[in-house]
Amino acid sequence: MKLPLFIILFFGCLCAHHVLYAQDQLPEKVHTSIDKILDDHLAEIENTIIQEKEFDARTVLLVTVPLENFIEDVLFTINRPAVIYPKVICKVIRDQFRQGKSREEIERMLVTMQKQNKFEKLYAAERQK
Amino acid sequence: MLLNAKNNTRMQWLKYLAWSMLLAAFVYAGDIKPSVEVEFNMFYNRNYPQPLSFQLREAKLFLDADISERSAALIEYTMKDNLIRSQLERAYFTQHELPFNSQLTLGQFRNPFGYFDPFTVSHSTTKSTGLAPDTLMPEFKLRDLDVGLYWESQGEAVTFGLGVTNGNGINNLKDDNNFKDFVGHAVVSFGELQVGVNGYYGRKNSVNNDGSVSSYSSVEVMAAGLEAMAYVGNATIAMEALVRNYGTLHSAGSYLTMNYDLSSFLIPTLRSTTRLEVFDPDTHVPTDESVQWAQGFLYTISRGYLAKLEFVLNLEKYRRQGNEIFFELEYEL
Repeated sequence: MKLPLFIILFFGCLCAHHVLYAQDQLPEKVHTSIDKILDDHLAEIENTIIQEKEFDARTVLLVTVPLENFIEDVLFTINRPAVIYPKVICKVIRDQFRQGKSREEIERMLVTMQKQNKFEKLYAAERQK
Repeated sequence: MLLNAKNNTRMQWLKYLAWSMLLAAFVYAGDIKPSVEVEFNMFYNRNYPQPLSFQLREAKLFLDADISERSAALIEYTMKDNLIRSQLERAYFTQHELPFNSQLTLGQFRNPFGYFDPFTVSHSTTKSTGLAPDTLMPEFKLRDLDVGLYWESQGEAVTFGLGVTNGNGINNLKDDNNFKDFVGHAVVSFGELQVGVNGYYGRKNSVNNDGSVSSYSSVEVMAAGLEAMAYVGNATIAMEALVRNYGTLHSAGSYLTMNYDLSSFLIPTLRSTTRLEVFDPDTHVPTDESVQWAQGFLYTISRGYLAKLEFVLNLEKYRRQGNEIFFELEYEL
């Protein structure tokens, strides 16, 4: 069997495995230096909030794009991995929507929190509880 | 001859065995995330026989695995040029949270030399053009993929990293070079401004007149760069100036890029990317400089769909014919 075919088959099997046995829970902490993988994780955060049906799906969808762009610009351009905290980010977005903040305000806030390392601090505080 | 054939078969089997072991490690990993990315490209260049062309530029398969809380592995397999050419792009293992807030990466990864902008359709000259002074010389690409190990310590104010690689480029898993290449990178942060230096030093096997690689003589390669990045409001501005030597060939370049998030006041999820770049492939030749300006817009249509529009203008008089327009649709599964 040719190596590329072997790899593609393997990827196919793993994709199927992932689809069949996907975990519902968001991970606590993720390291990545690949834009596609970052995108997947942030999409998962939005999906989690949308599935709760508490807020309008159109407002929630793509709310993390400015944060994603910022991480890509600042970290991935120098091949530095990003550490994101999906559970913390999800909680922050949910809380902000509950407080009645607009989508634009939340977008800006997520970027500011990333700049100031606040997600990491919130994660550390959660762990200490 | 027979012995060679036997060795080749053995090597093939060993390669499959290594692959199977790596993939088995992924299967047993805690959380595996496979994903696929397809890039469909439409571009216009009036100098081409068909000025308006379409291509399926790239399809990427990713397999990302969190082996434990502190270790991860990644495989990236890419199919390029209308999916004709395929190659293993990245394959590495990373151990995070080591002493000094550091991490160690082993495998095939991108050189940690300066900036690399993967978000534009066209590739800039300073960053991706190989320095191959004539066809007999092996290519020397900065920021190329290579096999080796890299250690990086990331602090609040200072980040630095050191890498050792084979220096013989992508998918040369076996070292065909008698020397090792060293890559270094250090950045100091002052609030929203980062300033850094990067360096590359190595020796490549020189090439004999018949094209074979010489084991007895070598060519010295070195590069040094000065970089700065600032994020001001919705904009991220980065610049770099670099010089590099490949034996007796000297080249220099610099660029300034600005990525601007237009989400908050124009169209949600729209981003602008601007790049001005100057590149001189041989400083001894006065007429080979290129000055290029690229302006792009990236629009996230929905999760998984990204549209990119980019204009590339060559500002040098004799190169203006080569201006190009790209439109790209990216689909992510």
